[in-house]
Amino acid sequence: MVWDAFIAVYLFLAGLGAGVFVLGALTNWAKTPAPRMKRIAFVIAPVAVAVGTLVLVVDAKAGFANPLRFFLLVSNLNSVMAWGVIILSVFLAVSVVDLALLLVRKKTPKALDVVGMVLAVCVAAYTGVLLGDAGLAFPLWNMAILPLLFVVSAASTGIAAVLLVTYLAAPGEVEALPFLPKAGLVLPVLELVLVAVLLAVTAGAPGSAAAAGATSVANLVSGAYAVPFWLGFVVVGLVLPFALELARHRGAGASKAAAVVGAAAPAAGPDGSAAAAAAGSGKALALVGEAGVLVGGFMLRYLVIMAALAVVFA
Amino acid sequence: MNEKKLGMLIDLSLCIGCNACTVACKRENDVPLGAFNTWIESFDVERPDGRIARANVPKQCNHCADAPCVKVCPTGASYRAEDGTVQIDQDRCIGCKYCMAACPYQVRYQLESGEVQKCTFCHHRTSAGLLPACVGTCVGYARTFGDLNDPESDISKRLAEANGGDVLYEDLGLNPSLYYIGLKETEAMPVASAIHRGGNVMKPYEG
Amino acid sequence: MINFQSSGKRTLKNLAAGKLKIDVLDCTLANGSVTPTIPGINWIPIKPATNAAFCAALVQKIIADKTYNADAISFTTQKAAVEGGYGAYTNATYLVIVDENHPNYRKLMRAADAGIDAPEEKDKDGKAVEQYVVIDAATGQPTLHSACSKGTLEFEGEVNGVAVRTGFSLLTETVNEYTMDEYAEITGVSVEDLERIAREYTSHGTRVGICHKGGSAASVNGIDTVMGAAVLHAIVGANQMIGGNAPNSPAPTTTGNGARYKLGAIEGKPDVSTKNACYISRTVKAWEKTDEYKNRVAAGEKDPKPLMPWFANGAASDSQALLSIVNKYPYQAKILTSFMCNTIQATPGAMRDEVVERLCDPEVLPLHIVCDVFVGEHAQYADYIVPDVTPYESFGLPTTGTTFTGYGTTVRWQVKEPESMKLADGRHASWETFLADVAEACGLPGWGEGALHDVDGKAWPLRDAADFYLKAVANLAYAEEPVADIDAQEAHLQGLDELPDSFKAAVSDEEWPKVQSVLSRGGRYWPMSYVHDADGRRSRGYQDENQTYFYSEKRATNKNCYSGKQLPGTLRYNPETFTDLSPMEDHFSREEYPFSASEHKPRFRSISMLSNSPVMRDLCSHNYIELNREDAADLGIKDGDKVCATTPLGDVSEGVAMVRAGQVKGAFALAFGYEHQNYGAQDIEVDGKATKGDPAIAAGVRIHQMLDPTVTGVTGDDVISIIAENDAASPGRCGGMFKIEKA
Repeated sequence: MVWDAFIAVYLFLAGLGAGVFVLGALTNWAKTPAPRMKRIAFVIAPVAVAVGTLVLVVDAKAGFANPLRFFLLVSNLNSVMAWGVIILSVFLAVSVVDLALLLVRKKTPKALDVVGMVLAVCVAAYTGVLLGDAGLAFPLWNMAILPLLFVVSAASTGIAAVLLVTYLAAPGEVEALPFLPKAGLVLPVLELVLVAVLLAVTAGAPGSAAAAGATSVANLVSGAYAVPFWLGFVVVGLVLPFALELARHRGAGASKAAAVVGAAAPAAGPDGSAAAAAAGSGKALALVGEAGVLVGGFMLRYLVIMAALAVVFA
Repeated sequence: MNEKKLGMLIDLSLCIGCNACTVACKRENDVPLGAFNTWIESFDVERPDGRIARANVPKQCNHCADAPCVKVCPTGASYRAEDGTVQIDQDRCIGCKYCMAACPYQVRYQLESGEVQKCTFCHHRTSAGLLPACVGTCVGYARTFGDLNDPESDISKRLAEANGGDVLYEDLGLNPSLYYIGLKETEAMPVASAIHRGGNVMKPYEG
Repeated sequence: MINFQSSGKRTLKNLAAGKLKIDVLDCTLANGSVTPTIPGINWIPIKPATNAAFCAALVQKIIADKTYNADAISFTTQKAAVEGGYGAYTNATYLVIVDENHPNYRKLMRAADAGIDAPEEKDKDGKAVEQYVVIDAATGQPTLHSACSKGTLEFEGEVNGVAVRTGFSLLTETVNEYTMDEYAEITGVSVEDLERIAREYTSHGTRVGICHKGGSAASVNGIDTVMGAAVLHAIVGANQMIGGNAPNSPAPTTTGNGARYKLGAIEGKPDVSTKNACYISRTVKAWEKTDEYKNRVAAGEKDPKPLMPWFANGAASDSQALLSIVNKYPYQAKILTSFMCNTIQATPGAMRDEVVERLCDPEVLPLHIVCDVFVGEHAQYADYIVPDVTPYESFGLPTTGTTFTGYGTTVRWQVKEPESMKLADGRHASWETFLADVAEACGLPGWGEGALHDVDGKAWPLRDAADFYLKAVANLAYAEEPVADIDAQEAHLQGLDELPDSFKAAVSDEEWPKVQSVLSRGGRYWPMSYVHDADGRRSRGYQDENQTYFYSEKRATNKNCYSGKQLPGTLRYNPETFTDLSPMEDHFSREEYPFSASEHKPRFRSISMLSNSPVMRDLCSHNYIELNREDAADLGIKDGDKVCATTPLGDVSEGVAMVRAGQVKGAFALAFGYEHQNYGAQDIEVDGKATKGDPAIAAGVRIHQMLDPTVTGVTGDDVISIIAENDAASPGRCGGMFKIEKA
């Protein structure tokens, strides 16, 4: 294995930071103001991406030992990584400036937020393209699917990271963005579909890639990585958050119904404590769900790196 | 064509899997323990006549004309030299390992110091008019080295006799400069043992 | 010493050109010339310890088809063969006494037995020439072998009233003791292949050969293989023929009495030979000829049995010597000096606690001195270790062995200053230095001042390796035609003008530039035309005596010291036996122990060394227990499983299974040189300095053969004896009986 968990951490944090930033910027258009959520997002985004980049720098052992060589990073513009460096740097700059403005002036220019959003999508997609450009060697790293999959996962993990902190630090703003619950239902399904397509395409890889493709998929589905794949990624990362989100949807309807019933039969409780209890456990479950998304997001990157088998080794 | 394109041709019928090339290469290039610039993959095969034979397939950098390692290297440390070989300027290498990931032949490895290394076709020898160490030591004369663009070179003549030879993973379209004689024929034979890299199991036998 | 590189090069070149066909009979498919795409070569799996059955099957078919070269095997003398266009003859037509009541039963018939007057003939060494009896092919009458040119191959009858048969006739009988189907069953080689190979082998005149190395005879019935190959070479007349079998690898005399120095002549050399002494390995002497036997018989004992077996036809054997030493039989070794050897590791079955304990016991072996570069398994039990030098620091003139048919020899010389300790006089510690100093201290002849003499009678000292070996190089430089002096510039370019003064002092000023010339080339070789003649014979040496025994009198008359059994003098497949010649299968159930074993040369180790090389370990960290895929499937063993091969006596070899098609069914194989215990694997302390061991050196598995149950614990209370060849005394490395299970 050429790359390992180090790179998975980087891919995860870069995607997460990108997703977080987009969500933070979207609060500009929130129905109810969500200033704390925005601040949470704008702090997380550059920190996550910066930490991710730092991991990358440390992993680049020869560069870490000879830092001046990092200035050569954009020497070859045929290299996806050179473009990645540029995108990451600009994004980091924009997100840091945005954060500074937010902290100093309490507001950010919308135009800069939009630029940041575009860059964020590029960052998220880049993490997929990075692997995709080595797809000739590792058939699992599919250039057509990975960027999209990583963008979707970036959105999921970005939302999850922001909501997780918001639930704890600013619970009042949790519902400021009404599309988030829907996203919580749509994104896992989309991700599952994309992963299924990725596996199907990889398993059916032609020619020299055939054996490595099939073995990589087998690694995930039934081989050495089956447990983390099914348990860590599918169950914890997709099914659990999806189920909790679905339950919350149903629960929201049910608690309304319960309130009606409560009004009709006051004996049920003195002051609607059932609803409060429901809200309390709902928050705990939501935290579990968001944590699950984050776990799943990391597992996705980790598994895509670790389970990939090179053409020569199949 | 005046440009040089150095290449190597390995006649698999003449490779006896002695690994003299592997050892010569390790000594010549100070290859660290655990890493190899060239190695031999050995395995039993069933010949079409039903008898069993031992295949030995030497592997190393293919010095592709369309090398993915060169394309993905952000710093330009990996480059295609004037003689057509793929080289690494280690003073430019940051050790991001992107080239290692991008190489379908997986011939690159990272040094303790962080830089990436691989077969150079013994650039330090060939630029002085010597043969690469693996070619010079080959017991069966299985390896031929020379300029693929020179029709008078030994390698061009031997390739012409072999109807152009085979390359590894032709369908990947990388235009390697490492040719084989008998590769396709060997690949068509069912494998009947583990695949050994040297004497260590690279891929166990599933039966 | 076999030059694998040159044989590899020539084999591949000729196969690729379609000029050569080879069938490789081997238990295990090695990496080698049997590549998938080269023409003309097949791997034919054969079961261990059955090579003689393969040879016998071929001979049976060749005799049945009458495809043998009747001409070549009928010559009765070298002279007749040479005149007939060949380079060798056989004793196929010599008569053998088959009358059980005749005093010379099983012996070749001599002139006296036939009542024929024999001329007094002496050979060049002054030894009386034996006169054997043949039936003259021209007259049909009994005559002396030297009195005719060809004998009758098939004769069974009486001569001078004595029942006799020709060796050829006896051979026909012994190779027909099994049917072709039985041979196929024994060897695992199909009848089709046996017959095809017999036909192919007899379709190329004298341009065929059998290249069989030591491993093919490394079993308790190994001599049968050697006899089989010898008969097959002779039966087509291939000996001494170009493209056939060139048994001698000729080289000029270097370390003996050569062109410049008489290195073989030692003044005052004590008269010790097998005539007045006996090897501690119990070889070169029949049990009945030993003093012990005679004394015990004289003391009234009837048919006494020795404590350990004696091997009348065996040469000196290090393995048997080791066992003799630990058993203190036939006599106690007071001092053992071992040089550059690892006998205990290399003797299958010997490396076990009982042997080690005795080897370390001063009551058994009072003094053990080892001279080696490494502290190997054997060396670790020494009382003293004298540091030695490595190949790059030492000298040697090894003739290149049987795969090189040209004339000449290699020279290995000290190309760097040794790393071993430097003595006060400038010499380095080494085997030679040790010997020289000990010999001088003990006042032994042949060492020190004036020990060596040149052809002019001048005396030279012998104190160091250079003193001896550079004189041997001078012998080589002056052999046949002296070489030209080295060019001064060339000597300078190669740094040969910077060699130690002791080198130059070891030879005369006149010789030195010629010695330098030979050193610069790493030896001296003559052109192939020097040994190849245009008429298809080797031009050098073919006039010299080259006889093949179709009937080996020595073997036929060798009585087993325990059972009194005798093996036939002609080629026959003899199933594996224990020391008393009782078949192994009479003692243990083949059903329960269905597997036999074979060892083969490792690609990444030597027989007992190189596991300390990090690069070699990098290439191959351990060896495997190689199993046929069908056997593995029957046993439920998968590639990579840990498995045990266990003998009926409970010796266990445990290793990782390599499941493959390239292994014969019914046997497992492993590469030797693995499963070390020391040799750097364990922590050691030298002169108070501790060195950490590397357990990786110990990786892998070696064959743990059983001891011989017909000797061990039988003839004496605590005798330990290995299974061994009845004639050659060599250990039964391959073969044996094993069951294989998942570990």
